[in-house]
Amino acid sequence: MNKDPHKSLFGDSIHNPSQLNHSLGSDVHEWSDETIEKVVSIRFGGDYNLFIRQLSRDITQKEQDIILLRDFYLRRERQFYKVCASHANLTHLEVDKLLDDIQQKDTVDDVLLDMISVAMKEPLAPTLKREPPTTISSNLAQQPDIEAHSSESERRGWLRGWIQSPNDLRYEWVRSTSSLHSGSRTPKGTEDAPIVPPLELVSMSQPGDSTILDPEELTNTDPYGFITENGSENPKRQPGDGSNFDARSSVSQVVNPIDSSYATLQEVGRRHDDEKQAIEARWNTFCNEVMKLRNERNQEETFVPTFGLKALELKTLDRQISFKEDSYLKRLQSLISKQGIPPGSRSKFWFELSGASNIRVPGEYNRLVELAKMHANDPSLIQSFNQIDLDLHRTMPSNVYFHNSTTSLPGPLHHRLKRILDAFVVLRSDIGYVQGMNKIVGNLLIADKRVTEEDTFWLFVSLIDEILPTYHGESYFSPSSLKHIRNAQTELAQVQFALLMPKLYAHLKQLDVQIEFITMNWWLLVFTDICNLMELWYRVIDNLLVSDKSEDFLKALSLGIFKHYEKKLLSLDNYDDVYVLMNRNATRNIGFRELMEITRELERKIGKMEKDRGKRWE
Amino acid sequence: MPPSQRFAQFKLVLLGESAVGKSSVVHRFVKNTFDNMRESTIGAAFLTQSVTLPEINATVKFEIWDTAGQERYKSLAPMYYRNAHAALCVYDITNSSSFQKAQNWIKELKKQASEGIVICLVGNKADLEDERQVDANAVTAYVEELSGEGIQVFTEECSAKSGEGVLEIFTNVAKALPVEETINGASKPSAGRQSGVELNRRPQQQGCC
Ligand SMILES: Nc1nc2c(ncn2[C@@H]2O[C@H](COP(=O)(O)OP(=O)(O)O)[C@@H](O)[C@H]2O)c(=O)[nH]1
Ligand SMILES: [Mg+2]
Repeated sequence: MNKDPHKSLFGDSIHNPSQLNHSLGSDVHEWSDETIEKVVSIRFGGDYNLFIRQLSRDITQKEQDIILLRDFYLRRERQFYKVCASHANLTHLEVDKLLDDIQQKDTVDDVLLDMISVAMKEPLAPTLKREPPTTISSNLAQQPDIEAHSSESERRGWLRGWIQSPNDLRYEWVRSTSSLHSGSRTPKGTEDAPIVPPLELVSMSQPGDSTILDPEELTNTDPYGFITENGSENPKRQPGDGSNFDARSSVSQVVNPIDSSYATLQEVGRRHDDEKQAIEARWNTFCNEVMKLRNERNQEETFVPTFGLKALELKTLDRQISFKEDSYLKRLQSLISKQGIPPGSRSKFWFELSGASNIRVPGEYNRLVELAKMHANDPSLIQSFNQIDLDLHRTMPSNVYFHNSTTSLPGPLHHRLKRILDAFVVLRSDIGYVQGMNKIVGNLLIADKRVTEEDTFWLFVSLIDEILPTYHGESYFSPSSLKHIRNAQTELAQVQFALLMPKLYAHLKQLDVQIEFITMNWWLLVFTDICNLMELWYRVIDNLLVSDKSEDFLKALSLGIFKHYEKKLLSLDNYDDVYVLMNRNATRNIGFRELMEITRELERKIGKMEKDRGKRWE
Repeated sequence: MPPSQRFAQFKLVLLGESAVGKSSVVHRFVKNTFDNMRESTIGAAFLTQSVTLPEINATVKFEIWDTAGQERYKSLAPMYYRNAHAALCVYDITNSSSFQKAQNWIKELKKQASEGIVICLVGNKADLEDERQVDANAVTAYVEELSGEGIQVFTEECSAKSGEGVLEIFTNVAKALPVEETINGASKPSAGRQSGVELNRRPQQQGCC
C-alpha cells in the first residue's frame, strides 16, 4: 500500500487506456470540414457510416468511463468512511469537516509545489500565489486561449488573429491534478469558454502525466525547466544577445498577469519589450501584406493555408506577382533569420511550415500509442523499445520536467517522451528508434508546453518526413542514410570548408583536426547538443523550416559555428584544444542573430556552389 | 612529477554496447566523478587525461574517444578507432549479451584497426556483484583462447560508480603502450598518428598534468 495519503485516498484511478483504442478524441466538434474528410477517408476508407458508428461508440465509451470512474470514487469514499468509523470512531460529518480542512490548506498542488521547492533547496518565490482550489480550477477552465499568453502588441496585431483562426494545432489548457481530485470538478468562471471535454477523459488519455507546471512557478529553473546553478541564472542558457526575445519575460505573462512580480519583471524586461514590439510590428506588417494579397487572389478557394509547408504558398504568391526582388518568401526568410519567429506564435508557425498540419490524422496518435503497448514484445520493434528505455533517463536529466531530482522520479515529460518515441517506432518500423531522436523530441516538448502531446508527435514526424534532408528518398534517420550523412561531412569538411574558409581550413589541417569528427556529432543530434541554449535551437528550427535546401542549411550552420570561432581557433596550436572548444558548450555566448546571418550568407554561397557544380556536370 | 621531456600522447577509443557504462568509466577517469544522470552519448565524445608512470619517469596523455553504443551507429566506429593506439572494449558484468558484443568488437579491431593496438576487455559495474551474469572464469578462458590465437588482450573489472579499478585500467594500458619508443622517437607508436611530431609542437603541455 502506498503510504502517501493523497495517493491512497484518491487512488491512481482505474483507467484502462485500451478503452480509448480507436477513439476519435474528444474534440471532433472543433474539426474543420477538411479534417473530417481526411479522417473519414484515411481511417474509415471514406465510409461515413463507419465514422458515425465510431463517434457513437466513443460517446458510449465515454459514458461508461464516467460511470466507472464515479463508481470507483464512490466505492473508495464508502470504504474510507467505513475505515474512519471503525478505526477512529469518526462520523460522516466529522470526516467531511476534516476533509474540507485538508482541501483548504493542503491540496495536491500544494504538496507537489512543496516537493519541488524542497528539490530546489530554496523556498518558493514569495510572489507565488497559493490559492484555494477554486482558483486553480478557474485557470483550468481557461481555454486553449493563446491570447492570455501573448503580449499586448500581439493582441492587437495580425498574429493574434491568425493564431486564433481555426486550425489544426491545438493547445491544451493548464491542467492540474488537484482539480480532478480536490472535489471541485466543475470548472468555474467559464462564461464565454467553449465546451471542454470531461476532465476524467482528458486525464485518462494520458496516463502518467501529472501536473505540467509552469516553469515560472519554479524559482531555480530557467524558463524551460532546466535547473540553474545556485538558484541564479545559469549562464549557459542565457540568451546570447539582445536581438532575441527574452523568453522569460514573455512567458512570465502567462502565469499571473496580476501578480505583483509582473511589475518588476516588466521593468527588467523593458529594454527587451521595446525591441520585441518593434519586431512584432515588422512581423505584423509583413503578415498583413501577405494576407491581403492572398485574400485578393484566392477568393473562391475555401481553405488555403497562409504559408503552407516550407512557406511554399509564398512561392506561389511570388510567382503570381512575379516579383524578382524582395519576394515574399525571401522577406519571410530574412525576418526569420534576423529575428526568429516570435515565441508566442512559434508553435503555430512550426505546425504549418513543417507540414505537420497536413499529415496529422486526429486520433491516430492514440491508436499508435496503444499499438506500441500491444506490440511491446514484437521482435521487429523490441530493439527500439529497449533502446528508448535505456535512453529515457539519460535525456535531459537536469530538467525538472524530465527528472525530479528530489524524489529521483521521472518528471511528467518523461512519460510523454516515451509515448511519442514508442508511437514513432510503430509508425515507422523501417526507421525505428535512433539515438538523438530523444533529444529532438525532448526539445520540442519543452518548446511550448501548451501544445498537446499528439501535436508534438506530428511535428516530430513532419520534421523527419519533410524538413530534414533525405537521401535517395530515404529519410534522415533511415539506416541507409547514415553513410550519406557521413559523406556529407566529408564533403563539407573537404570541399565547402576549404573553399569558403580557406585560412581556417589550412590551419585546422595543419593541426591534424578531423573536422568531420566534430560536425558528425552535430548532425546526428540535429544540433541539439551544440545549440544547447533552447532559444538558439528553436531559432535553428525556425530557419531550417524555411530554408531552400535543408542540407545546405545544415552545412552552412556547421560552417557558421566555425566561422564564429575563427579567431579563437586560429590561435590554438593543437587539435585537442580544438575538439574541446567545439564541443557542446561552444555556442554558450554566441549571438543568435549574428550566427543566423553568417549562416544565411554561407547558405547562399553553398547553394550557388552546388548550382555551379551542377552546371559544370551538365 | 619531474618536469621532464618524457611525455607521450596516445589515442584511445571506447567501444561496447549501449549503457554498459563507457561514458561513466571515462568520466571517472577524467574527472573522478560518477553521475547517475548522464546524458547518453551520440556520435562520439572527446576528452583527454594523463597518467604518470613513475617507474619510467614518464607522463602518458590519452586522447579519448567515447563512442555511442547503439547498433545503428556501429558503422561509424571505424572513423574513431582508425589510428587508435588503444581500445577499451567494455561490457557490463550484469549483462551477458554485452559481453558477447565486446567480443565482437575485439574481433573487429583485430581485423580492421592498426596492428599492435592495445586492447583491454573491461567488465564494468563490478559493484553489482549480486546481479552478475558474466562469470570471471569465462572471461579468463576467453582471453586465454585469444592468446592461443596470438592475440594479446588483457582484461580487468572495474566500477565507474565506486571508482574501483578504473585508474588501474588506464595505467595498465599506458604501461602496455610503446612509451619509450615514442619518446625517443626511435620508432613511431604502432598506429598512424605521429605522436613524436606532436610532441615538438606542444612544449607548453609538458608536466602539466
Ligand atoms: N551500478 C553501476 N551503474 C553504472 C556503472 N557505470 C555506469 N552505470 C550506469 O549505467 C548507465 C549507462 O551508463 P553510461 O555511462 O551512459 O553508458 P554508455 O552508454 O556505455 O556510455 C547509467 O545509468 C549509469 O549510471 C557502474 O559502475 N555501476
Ligand atoms: Mg555513453
